[in-house]
Amino acid sequence: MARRDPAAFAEFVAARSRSLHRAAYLMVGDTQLAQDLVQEALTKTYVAWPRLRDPRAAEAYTRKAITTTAISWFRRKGWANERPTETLPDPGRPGHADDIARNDWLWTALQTLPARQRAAIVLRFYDDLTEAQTADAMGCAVGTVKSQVSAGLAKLRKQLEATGAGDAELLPLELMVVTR
Amino acid sequence: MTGLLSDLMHDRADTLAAPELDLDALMRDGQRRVVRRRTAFVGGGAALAVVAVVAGLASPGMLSTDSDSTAGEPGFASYFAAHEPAWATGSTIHIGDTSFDTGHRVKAFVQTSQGVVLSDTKGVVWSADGQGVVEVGRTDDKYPHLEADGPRAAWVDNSAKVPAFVVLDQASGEVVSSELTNEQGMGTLRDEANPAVIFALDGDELYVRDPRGALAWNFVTDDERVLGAANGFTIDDVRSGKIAYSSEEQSDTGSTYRVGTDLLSGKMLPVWDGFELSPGTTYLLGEDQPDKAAVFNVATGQVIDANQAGYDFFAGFGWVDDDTFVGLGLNKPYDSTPVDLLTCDVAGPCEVTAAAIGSVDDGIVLPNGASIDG
Repeated sequence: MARRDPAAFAEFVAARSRSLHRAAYLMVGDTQLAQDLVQEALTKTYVAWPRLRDPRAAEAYTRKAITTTAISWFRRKGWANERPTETLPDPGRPGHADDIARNDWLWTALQTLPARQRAAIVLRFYDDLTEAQTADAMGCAVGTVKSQVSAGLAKLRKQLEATGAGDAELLPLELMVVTR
Repeated sequence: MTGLLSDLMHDRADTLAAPELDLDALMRDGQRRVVRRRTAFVGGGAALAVVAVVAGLASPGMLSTDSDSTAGEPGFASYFAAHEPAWATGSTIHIGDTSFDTGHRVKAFVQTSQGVVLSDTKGVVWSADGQGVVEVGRTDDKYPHLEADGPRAAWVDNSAKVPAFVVLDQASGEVVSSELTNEQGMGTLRDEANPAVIFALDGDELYVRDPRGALAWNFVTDDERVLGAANGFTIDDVRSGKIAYSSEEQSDTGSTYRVGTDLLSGKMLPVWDGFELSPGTTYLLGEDQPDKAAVFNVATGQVIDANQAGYDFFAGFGWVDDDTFVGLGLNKPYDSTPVDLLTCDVAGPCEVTAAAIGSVDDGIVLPNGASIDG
């Protein structure tokens, strides 16, 4: 990988783009936007390819590019970090649809979080990265990761309480465990 | 451990089809970005070859004894590579026992390992190495500010409506620029409201302020690290990731000076004004009181008096190595008395490297990236 080898890069893209796209989707909440994000991040990776020594480094680099680019896009495009919450599904709906309603509510609530909080939660709880790895991907300190995750979870709990539903029902306490 | 939230994210994401990426377009775009950087070359290869050397004034004796130079190379390269202190008077750059004329009156300049990068009185930025002089950009004509690290120099191009940050690699001739999130109407000085300014150049990162605040822009990868809020701090220098900065946090003096790896922590130092970190980040040049030169041990906080007997004013402004710095000494009246250039060991006395090199009235400029009258 010491040179810009198109075949090796294509192999990397084929192997990892689906996984990277999924994480990107969770960060931006839109399939097409996630695809654009991955395309941009992989372009940056191609530029940096000669300096990336192994596939793990390439994946870490691309993940970092996805994360920082997503946060940057949200800033540059002037999108509100927090989207309106009026459309949150009603979590108190009784009956067999409870699980679906709960998941719809949680998904929508997740998308209302500021970009950095959402990115930190995705990296920690979807990509299953350590706090140090998350900090590297976000280009920030470990302490910032802790505070972003903690703030994101607190916001989810607060929104849940505002709906009148019980915390324990929809957001298990395990969610509050943010270190390992 | 993440339970519901983790399950939800997997449920949502795992149903996604593979992305429809255009790999050819992606690699073409990537290649264009690589080429764009390379074709922005100035100073290297053909571009330099067609530019005439302007009135070389090198000392033959010095050049002939330049043991570091290979056959056919001028002596300037070895001086720049060795971080010999340079200064400018008028349009002439002096270094070691030699000098060369750039053909452009020097308003401000920085010294790299390859040569100098200067801005003239019209705000044109030039790259010069003793062999040739090449126009490389534009910057503020009244208050130029350049930074340097290794073979690179940086400045703000405010010739367009939206200011851009620019980095030149003098070794390759490559120029990279970016507006980041700059906008129209931004200021050019640190103390102005919403300025677009550079703070320091450190390896592949240029430390700047844009509307988001202080950030490190990696001009090689185009990544960014936002470091802090938009106001309430000043970064004086960055070396190997260590940041010398003051912040308006709670303190009796109204500001606190630290050297750390971010804008929230670090070793607190009794600095009145900070200038330059040493190459190994062992020391910081500055003042512990107004017009009172000092060297600060970054690890211990020790303040080493750097004032020099025999001068009404002395200030260190650059480093030769981790223990040796360069300073200027002058006496009253400051504007008309010629400046002495001194080389100082942190633990020992200074020696006059060049005596009476010129006065402020003569238009002397030192390689600190700013105009002496700005």
